[in-house]
Amino acid sequence: MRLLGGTDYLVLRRSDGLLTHTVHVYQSFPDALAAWTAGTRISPIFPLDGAELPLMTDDSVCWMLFAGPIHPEKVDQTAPTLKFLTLGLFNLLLVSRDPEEAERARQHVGMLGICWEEWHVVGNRVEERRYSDRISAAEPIPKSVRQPFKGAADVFNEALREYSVMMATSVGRAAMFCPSLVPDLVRFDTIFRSAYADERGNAVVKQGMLVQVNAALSRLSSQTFSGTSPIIETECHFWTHSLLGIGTASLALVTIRRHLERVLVESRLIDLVLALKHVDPAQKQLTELAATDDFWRPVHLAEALPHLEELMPEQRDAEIPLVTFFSGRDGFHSTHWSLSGPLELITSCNTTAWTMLTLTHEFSHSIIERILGQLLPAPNNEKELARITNVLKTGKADNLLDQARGFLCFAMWSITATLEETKLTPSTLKNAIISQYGELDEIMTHLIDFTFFYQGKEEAYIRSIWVSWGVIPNIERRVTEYVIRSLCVLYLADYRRKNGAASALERLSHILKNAHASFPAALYIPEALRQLDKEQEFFLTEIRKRLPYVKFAATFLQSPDVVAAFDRETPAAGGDKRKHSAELHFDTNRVADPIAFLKTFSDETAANAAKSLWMIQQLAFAEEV
Amino acid sequence: MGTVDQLLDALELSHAIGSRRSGHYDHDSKRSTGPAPEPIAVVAAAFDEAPYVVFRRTEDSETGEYLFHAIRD
Repeated sequence: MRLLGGTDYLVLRRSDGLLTHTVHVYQSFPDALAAWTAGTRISPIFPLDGAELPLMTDDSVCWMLFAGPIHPEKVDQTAPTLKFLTLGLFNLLLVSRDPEEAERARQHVGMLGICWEEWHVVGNRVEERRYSDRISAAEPIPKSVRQPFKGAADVFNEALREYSVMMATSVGRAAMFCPSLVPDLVRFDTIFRSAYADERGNAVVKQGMLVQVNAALSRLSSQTFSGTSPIIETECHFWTHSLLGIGTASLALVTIRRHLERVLVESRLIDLVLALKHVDPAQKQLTELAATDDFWRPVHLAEALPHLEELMPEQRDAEIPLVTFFSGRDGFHSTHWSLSGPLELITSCNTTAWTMLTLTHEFSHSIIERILGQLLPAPNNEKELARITNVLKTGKADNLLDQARGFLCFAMWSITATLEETKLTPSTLKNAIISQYGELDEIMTHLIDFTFFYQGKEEAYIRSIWVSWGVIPNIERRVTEYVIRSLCVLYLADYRRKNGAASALERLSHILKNAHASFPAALYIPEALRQLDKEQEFFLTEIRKRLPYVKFAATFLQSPDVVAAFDRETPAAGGDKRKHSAELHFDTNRVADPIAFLKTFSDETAANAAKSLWMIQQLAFAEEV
Repeated sequence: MGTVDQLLDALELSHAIGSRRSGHYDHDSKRSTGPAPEPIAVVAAAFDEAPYVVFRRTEDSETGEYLFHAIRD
């Protein structure tokens, strides 16, 4: 079975003074737009095996069966029904031309154990709608989700109420239409309630949490469950998909998020960093150890490995089912509770510019920010700032974690130290942490994204980030900052060598020239090349100032075992990570490793809606056997 | 130390720093992260009695790396 036949547009329109609905099919978007009314809804549909919708004349009849979510390969390929794919949670549209065929189609999807909704269409009018029994047989919403919040301050009750009903609705609708989402939502609810009830944290921080989570959950819920039964009542506010929603695309994001969380937890990275507290500190002051010293090698996390066994299960890092959604405003973004991608992914994820691989950068932010939360003293924690200053003064740390903590603080401070002799005090340390945190977060994020998700492949990584930046408006003034970040990434390979910085500079120019040749439309690369050519001394100085960040990441944020865990030859879910269906085809192959799949298929320059849909369907049902 | 504790620590840190990362496709370029301005000098009475350390910066003659040596009393 394969996608063949381009894109059609299915339109539902209110008519007869809102009393009835009519269905229309257009072969081009401009034609659909020309006939637009206030009550029009639209979604693209994609023919399988060249299916063509029958002409809808006054006396024609047909049965439209919306069903899903299901991998297209599971659909009976011998049935005579016309088959189309959609981006909704009802990702399958079967069109029958006689009642017997319609009955067989209903029975077939019923046996597949998925929900369906059928429209009997006479001429253009939707005369009758039917629904699968399964919809009303869903499990009730778990009681834990329907409990009031503990520790709620009155002033925030409205936001808490919004969260509570939104989560309950999301769980309830997931139980009906997509049961595999229920455990993730319930687990998120448990973690979020626990964080909210924690005695730490002031009310404003908690309000911030609520605002972020409500915004994310609202979008997840509306995007995923719009276009589910009854379809005529569940309009999607992503308007080019207002009829059937983008539930399948939402599931694709969920697959990627689950994979990223799984490999992070399996790597034990966060646990290993924290277990450095059981490892003896180095005998020398780290600030005095040159990059050529043997200490700066990725061997220390292995020393922490034996101590992981001492962690109780509740102390171990666990998966957090971040709320995933699409956003035109946020685009690629992550918070401690959510992970988003731009709307453009839906029609353009086959391109390097709009690849879903960029989600690994956002996910890396959430890893780094959790680690930094354990390493850096809050700027208002005067006691800890003074203690770390003392560690740096005396060179005496209790353990390697404390030593690493001191070195990272020193690294942030050293960027601000411009004189040959500079005094480090708790106050200057505080200022450095405040002023340098944003850049530290970005550079560390790049360093682990590059190491874990791109396996240190310089050309692929640099091309990917610069081409993806190249479609963002209004960031011309960030080019210098992006060049510095890129140089830090390349410095990772040879920071211990003489002329390593100059080599990084040379390689970046070379890679960007190649990227410009392949992607001439990508903005900012020409400006980056111009700066690299004209400002070599400036960049050499900047990269040398940031060498402590590179040393830190190379030493404390990786080990051969951790890197291997992020790039398992055999995925946790089984299967062969390199075996995929042929492009636009659906067969028994499933995506075993979403990252490997994206690297294989999102490498084009021109957007292709059909290929993007194919990728989304393959990702959405990657875990379905 | 569990996952919830880690999240709360990260939230508290970003709140105390005043850091709010913008989205990849966020049009508000004023909230760009990047090379931060030089730190603003603060009067920190609370630190009057605090420890301090003077670092001397040198350049490695072979690699050009900046090395910092604490000057001890």
